[in-house]
Amino acid sequence: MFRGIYKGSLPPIDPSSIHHGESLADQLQDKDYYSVGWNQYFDQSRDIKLPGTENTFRIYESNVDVVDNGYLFVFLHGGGYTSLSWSLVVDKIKKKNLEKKVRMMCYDCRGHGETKTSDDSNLSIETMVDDCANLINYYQDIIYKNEGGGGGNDDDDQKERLKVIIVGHSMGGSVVIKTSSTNRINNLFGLIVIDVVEGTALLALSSMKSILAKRPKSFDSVKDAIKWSISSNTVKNIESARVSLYFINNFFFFFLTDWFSGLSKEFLSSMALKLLILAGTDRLDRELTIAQMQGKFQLILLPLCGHVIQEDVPTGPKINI
Amino acid sequence: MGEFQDVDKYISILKECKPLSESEVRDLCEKAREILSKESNVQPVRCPVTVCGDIHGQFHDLMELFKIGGNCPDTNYLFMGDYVDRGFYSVETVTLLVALKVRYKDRVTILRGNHESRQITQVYGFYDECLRKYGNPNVWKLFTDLFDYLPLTALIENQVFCLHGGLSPSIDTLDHIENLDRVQEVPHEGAMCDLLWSDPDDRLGFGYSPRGAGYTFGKDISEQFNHNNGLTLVARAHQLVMEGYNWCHDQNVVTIFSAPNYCYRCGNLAAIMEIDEKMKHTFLQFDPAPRRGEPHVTRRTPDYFL
Repeated sequence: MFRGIYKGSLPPIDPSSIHHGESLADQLQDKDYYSVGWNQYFDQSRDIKLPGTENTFRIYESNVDVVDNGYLFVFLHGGGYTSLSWSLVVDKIKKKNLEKKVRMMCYDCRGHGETKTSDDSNLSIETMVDDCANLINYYQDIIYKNEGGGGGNDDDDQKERLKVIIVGHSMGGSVVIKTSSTNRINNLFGLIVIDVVEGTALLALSSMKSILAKRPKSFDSVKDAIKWSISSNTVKNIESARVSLYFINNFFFFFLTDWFSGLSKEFLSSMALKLLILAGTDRLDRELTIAQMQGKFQLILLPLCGHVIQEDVPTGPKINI
Repeated sequence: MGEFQDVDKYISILKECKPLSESEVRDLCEKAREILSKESNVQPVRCPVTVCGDIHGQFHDLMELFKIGGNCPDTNYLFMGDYVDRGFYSVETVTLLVALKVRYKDRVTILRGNHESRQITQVYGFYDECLRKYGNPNVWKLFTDLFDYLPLTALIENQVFCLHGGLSPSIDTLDHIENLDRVQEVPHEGAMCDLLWSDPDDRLGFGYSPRGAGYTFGKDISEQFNHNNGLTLVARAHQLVMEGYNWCHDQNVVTIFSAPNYCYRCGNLAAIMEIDEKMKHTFLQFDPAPRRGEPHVTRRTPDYFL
């Protein structure tokens, strides 16, 4: 459904590789729109079919040698995006020399990217939560049974299973919160939520419709579409625009209230370690402002970003383990 | 009283919620640094005194606080940090408090909060406000340089220990605090960071803070600290409490928060704690001040989902 015009194979360019000063759009040449592939950032990609279902999820992985005594980061993209919106983040983490400690996995959510399910149009929160819990648990099983990870066999108690940290942006953040509050994910250690706040998200819904109305229904070429998203300021790191461009059709609205209702409360009630990354304090609703001021979770602010924080400043959030 | 002519003028300007000029701020900060640099890490304070928590740039509520608690210098005040960020009038608020400190140095004590730092003010509003009101970051630089000199804690009549955040695993006695070199940016870890960031908690002992800085400390820690140092109470701020004040740890610790309806959205009461000549304490709670001429709060809806 939300395949995007780039066929799910092009990650964004690192903004630090671009010269600043002159307008970024002016620096772009035609080849820049097409020149990088996902494998520049991820070690491997595979399709995982969940047993007993017709659902096959596309995943992208890095540091796959890490099978125990470390951390497994699972990244959930926002609505209309794909796994590749995490390319720069994954790349930055990889460069921090954590290859013995941190394994990373991104998956294309139902209805997005290269994932294929029996019902790609069912984006209800319950389904997304099911997908998230089942896939992550099954993925852990694969690590322990097929890749020799710790905890797979009883005679090997020395190896500790990977601690799972789930990271979600926007819609993905909502799925992360709701899934963690079901306690269904094995070995869940922490959650990181990027720019998703219930009160503000619901408020923003009404203004969405007018903005969408202004969006061209179609573009003549990839380049035109990317130029539009640049000129309309949709993605502030112009480089990532060319690949993470996405389409949201009106159908999307069905699920928005469903995704965001009750989030703040569930985020706060989660027993795991919590980190919220936002583009500005104005995005905190009342419940989260109070909780933040009571020291209930960690908040990191990155004021110069748009909504797609991890693409605008992939180096911004320092993840301390 | 020629000595205070300038400062008296500053105070009268500030009380109308008008910012000083950059050169006036520079003059004021120089005078303040002179005074603050002579103060101790554990600054002794005499009773009677009124103890206040976070203000966060809510200037009109600070005026309300003075109405409720009494004017300076008729009432002695001890502020426990977090004067800037979040509210609309961080510049006027912190300038006024510093001016009152300079004018009545023995009657006003101002401690350092975790927001009195270069790093935090750059993301939570004070830096942007200085830029907006002065067109350059000079005033922000003057104040954040001054913040390095603010005392970390205060001690009322050797009994009530006051600070912004809370206790630290690296500090057992008040002497440890005296030995800290405080004239620096608030560090990311260590004793000085903990004093400004820690929170009391239901769990015993020290725990990692969900804030990502400082620690949580339990009742056992507070009891032992008070016992070891001959204290009756730890008074601190840093956490929003809906009633404006909140006892915990069997009355070994009290939290005081003095920004009503925090961030113009939380619906909480504010409070201050009066300590009289006999060291008896009374809490005064207050609502937000009526907002004369304050811009109506409209929050820009962010560009979600786009």
